Amino acid sequence: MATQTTQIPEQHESALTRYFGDTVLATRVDDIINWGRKYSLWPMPYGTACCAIEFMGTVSGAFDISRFGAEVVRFSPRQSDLLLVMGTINYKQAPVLKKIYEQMCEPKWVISVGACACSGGFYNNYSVLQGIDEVIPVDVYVPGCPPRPEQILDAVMKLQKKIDPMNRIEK
Amino acid sequence: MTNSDYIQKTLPSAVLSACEKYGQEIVVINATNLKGVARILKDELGFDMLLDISALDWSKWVEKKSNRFEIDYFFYSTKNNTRLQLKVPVPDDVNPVVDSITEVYSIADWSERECWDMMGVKFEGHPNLKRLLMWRDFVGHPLRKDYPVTKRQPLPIMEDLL
Repeated sequence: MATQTTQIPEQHESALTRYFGDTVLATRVDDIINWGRKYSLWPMPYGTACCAIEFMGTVSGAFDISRFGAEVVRFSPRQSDLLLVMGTINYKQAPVLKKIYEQMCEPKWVISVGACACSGGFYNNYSVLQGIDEVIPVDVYVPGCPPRPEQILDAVMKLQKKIDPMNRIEK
Repeated sequence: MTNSDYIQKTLPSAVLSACEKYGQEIVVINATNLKGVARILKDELGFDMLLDISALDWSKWVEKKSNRFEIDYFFYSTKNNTRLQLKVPVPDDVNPVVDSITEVYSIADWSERECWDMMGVKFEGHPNLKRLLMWRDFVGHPLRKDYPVTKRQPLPIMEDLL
């Protein structure tokens, strides 16, 4: 566990250890909540292009996103706390994406997967949103066209690092 | 007798030129005779299927063309297994208008709406000529060659999709 343990005063330590042995670990509320959150991210895939195919590979056995605790893929924004935007988002779809993001309960995080979701990719034209950060906040950007599954796993780990020092009231 | 010969015989003023490329007949016709030619194709020549309608903007083409816009119709005959392409140069460069063929081929409805949306070619007699792909408040026609590539028109609110 990466959480910070606080020092237990000596007079209590002896009594506690006598009673519980080493089965007790003292920590802060923030740390234990963040620990729970970061190892049980429930992703919701918002896949519109080939990056979503890479996500299928990431979830499946060879790469296995469940090693990072994020395997419970939900297809409802109300049940998930991690939005994975994978693929080209055009202007007509932008309000739909925003509405889906708004339907997610706090705390929530967004990973933008692939060149199109991050910056519009090579679609520099009248119809394509130049990066989803024009409509919703993004926590981690994953480059690539499409990115490899390892990169998506790396993004999940980066997000876990970001969740770890968070204050409970912040999110 | 080829199909273009038949059209030439039935509507003498319609055909401007005709040729064959890759086993597909290509007939260039007058915009005024479009509906008549579509009727002949469907009722007499057995082209029972309209595959696609496509619009072209020749304004930035290397060769100077007399007409800026051109509408291409792609027909297919399921009975004879043959294809035919109609090329219709649109007379007006500023406000291009051609006749709608939705009365003859009802499938032309959405294709003509798409042409209007992307190229700004009006189809006279269309029952519901409004944008098909872009949103209602979109200004201009994005596939025209003079539409700036980097021009953006963000959609502010969610539209009812139905």
